[in-house]
Amino acid sequence: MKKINKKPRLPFLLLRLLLSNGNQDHLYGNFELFYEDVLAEKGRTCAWFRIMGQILISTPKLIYAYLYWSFIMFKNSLKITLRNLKRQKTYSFINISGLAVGITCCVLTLLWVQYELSYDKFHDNIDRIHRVVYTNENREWKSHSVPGAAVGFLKENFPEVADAAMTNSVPVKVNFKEKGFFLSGYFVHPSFLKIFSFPVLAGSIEKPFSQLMSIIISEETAQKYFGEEDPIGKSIRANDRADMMVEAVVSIPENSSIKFDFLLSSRIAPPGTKKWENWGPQVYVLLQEGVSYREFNKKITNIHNDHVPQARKINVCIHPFSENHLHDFLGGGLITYVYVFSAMSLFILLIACINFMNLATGRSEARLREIGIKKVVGSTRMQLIKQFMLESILISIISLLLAGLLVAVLLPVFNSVLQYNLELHYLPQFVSGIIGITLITGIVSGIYPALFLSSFKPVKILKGSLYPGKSSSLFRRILVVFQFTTSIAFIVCAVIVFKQLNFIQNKDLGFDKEQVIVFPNQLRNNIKVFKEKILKNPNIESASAISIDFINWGSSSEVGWEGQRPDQKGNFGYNWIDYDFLKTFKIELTEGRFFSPEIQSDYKEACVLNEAAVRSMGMVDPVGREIIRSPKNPQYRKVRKIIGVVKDYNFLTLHGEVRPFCLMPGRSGGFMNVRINPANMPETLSFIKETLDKMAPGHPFEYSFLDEKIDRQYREEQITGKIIMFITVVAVMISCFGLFGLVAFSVERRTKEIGIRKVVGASLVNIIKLLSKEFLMLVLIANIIAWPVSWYIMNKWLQNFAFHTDIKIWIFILAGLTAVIIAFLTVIKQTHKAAAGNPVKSLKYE
Amino acid sequence: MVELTRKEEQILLAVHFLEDKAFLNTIRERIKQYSGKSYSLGTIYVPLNRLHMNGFLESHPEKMSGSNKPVQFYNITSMGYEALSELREKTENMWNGFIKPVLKKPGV
Repeated sequence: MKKINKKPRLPFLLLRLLLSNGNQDHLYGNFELFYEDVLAEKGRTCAWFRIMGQILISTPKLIYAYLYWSFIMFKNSLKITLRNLKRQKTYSFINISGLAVGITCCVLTLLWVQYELSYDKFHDNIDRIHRVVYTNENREWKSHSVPGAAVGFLKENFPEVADAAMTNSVPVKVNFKEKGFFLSGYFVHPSFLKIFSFPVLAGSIEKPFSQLMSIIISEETAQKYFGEEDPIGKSIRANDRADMMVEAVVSIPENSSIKFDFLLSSRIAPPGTKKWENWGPQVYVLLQEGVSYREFNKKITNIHNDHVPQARKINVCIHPFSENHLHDFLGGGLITYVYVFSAMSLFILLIACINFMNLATGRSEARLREIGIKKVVGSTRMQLIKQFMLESILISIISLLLAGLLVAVLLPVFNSVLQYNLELHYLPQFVSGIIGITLITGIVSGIYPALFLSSFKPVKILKGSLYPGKSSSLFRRILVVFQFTTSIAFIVCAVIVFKQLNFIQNKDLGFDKEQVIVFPNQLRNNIKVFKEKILKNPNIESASAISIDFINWGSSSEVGWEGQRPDQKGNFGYNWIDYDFLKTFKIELTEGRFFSPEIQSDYKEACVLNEAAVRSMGMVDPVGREIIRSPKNPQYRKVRKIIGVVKDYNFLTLHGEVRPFCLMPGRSGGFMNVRINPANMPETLSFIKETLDKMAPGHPFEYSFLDEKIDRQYREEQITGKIIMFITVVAVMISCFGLFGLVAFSVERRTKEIGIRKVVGASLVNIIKLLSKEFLMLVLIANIIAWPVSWYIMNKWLQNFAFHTDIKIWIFILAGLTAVIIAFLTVIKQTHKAAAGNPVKSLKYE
Repeated sequence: MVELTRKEEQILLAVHFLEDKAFLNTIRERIKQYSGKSYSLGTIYVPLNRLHMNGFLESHPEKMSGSNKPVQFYNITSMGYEALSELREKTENMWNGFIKPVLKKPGV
């Protein structure tokens, strides 16, 4: 008996590792024999080296063998899988489309999320850029508009601040080659361009604004006004007064929160912007590396009050700029939408996967023979599971391809409907994300059917007594209820969102927004003459020049009045308007009178409040009483007499209550609003343009419609609405697929029963009624769950609006009914097929 | 008929002549003996496995002294013999009438 010597550990450990995969186990013995032979011949040390050598040299070959055969097995499985798919065309198609739609939703959402997350990330120093914010003590209100003086102060007194800059917005009229345009841009500190990294296309920003009167323009501006010419060194005339020389051209990426047409040096900004009392500019701060903004905030909390002790208590803090787009410090921001849409897409994918599972297990009848035979011939359960998993992954991949097609087709539609510009950039994260989604879908959807199908006992199959009863279909039913619940909930949400959007469009805002055009102007003292001229045109009903855009409000400062209680604070919005304001916007006056050009004192001493302002003061008879602006600041203190009260009008969005507001006459109306008769609009417009040109040659005429401007405020909601409606359609469609599968399964089970009933004399209608009872029950349960859930969600969403529609009961009934009808139709189609067949065939069916 | 590679040919022949002593190690040694080439176990394994999978060889495990695990012994199947004869025929056809020519030495 030959003794089996002890084996050296290292080589055989390696060997075990190497052979542990695949069907190469039997080689272990061969290597042992080799070792024994060498050992007998040459001795221990030599044997160690020889066996090591053999193992190392054989390694590549063994690996190759393993891969080669895995590939061949894979090709085989693939062939079988494809054959299976072709055999069950309808069900494969439904499965694939369901998954494809789910994947498409995810891809589109992923693109959008990626885009939103990428905002502002192109700045080199984005991690260290922060924005200064003013809040009051309880953080009840927050403002990004802060004094420009903070820039110098922060830079000089705090070593943590590497750099700081201010941007102060300024609308400017420019002239170039006899053409006039309105541009908007900022007064900035030179360090602005060091803190933010806007790519430079021409010129240089090494020393920005080395000349006081130089201007830096955006790529778009350069294109518009210089076309192909090189703009560097050319001059642009601003506001008919100053000639600015173009120093550089920068490009502004689409995903930038900061957008501008031009930049000017802050040194030529009006002096007021550098005072601590004046709030207006945005101030940005670049912190040194490693400085935490939270720590820094503790140091700067009181710097405003240190400089302006008589003002109310202000807390100063800074907030990271990288969060500006999504987590707007002022509240709102898109981050909620990012979460919501991601959740919805995953949900849809989940529903599609559930569908897949339903259909895969539902058609198990067709696979039974195959499974039974395989098991008898010697297939292990693991092998069957692997095969089914491969099938579902393959279906997943085919769905991915189909989804790719769908995305390519839908992306342009998506972009145009939502006014985005999403492109398919094949970034590694994106591609791996998509592939990950596909594989996970395949695996998740495939597990249950794989386990289910491979668990059949061959004896039972061949005997025919397969289905153990109701328990296997309980899971299936739960899945269908889940699908229908989500569909019903989506339908309810879609209807309510639609209603709210409608409501917003049509609500009486307290003024007439139709037929009014708005255009900025710099006519100033010529406004009166201009108005007289255009009013001569019969198609022009009225015109009014106001200082601040109608859908905006002027900065608030404190207001006091006699009889004011210490706990009352007056914070009004302002606008400076003219005498035709009420007429042009058709706003109602409720008390007193409006400004009149005949009464001289009106101009300096009168004011008109809205009802909200009066309510906030608690004043009973406001006409004739006085309000005091900036009562605590002797420099700016002004007294105004209230001569009238107007009805509240919603010039801001319906998200908030109507703000207390104060109107005063002013002459510098930079925004001209003209109410036009809709007939002959093009001629009227060109008439206005000509009149404007005659009075002020080269003056730009960039008008917009007031109702469109107001609509644009609701862009977010409109986008939400469209997305929700799209998703609802998808969800309902997929639920139908699901129901289809469930019905198919159930009908299959009861083929014999149907056959017998037919023979005994049941009519088609009877049978359909019988089979559909089961499903209508499920839809009913889905309704019961969906109604409260969707009511709760929609209630919360509507709270965002101070003005909103009501949630009426008919919406739920409508959704429920739709679900029932769809379910019914699906059921009828399937059962009709079964019930109309030849009963003899179904009875023979074994 | 699947074309036999050179190594496969050598293996089949080795298995034939080894009769019932044909397994990975002995095949390897015989090939070393006849062709002078010392291949590694892995190198022999790949074509051997292919022959087995394609049905030219059949195998059965036997326990051998000297190792704890059973080792696969191989025999040629009828299909294997067919392939061998075909190969021999083809080769003989190709070599038929071959006479080594007298080549001029370079530089003469």
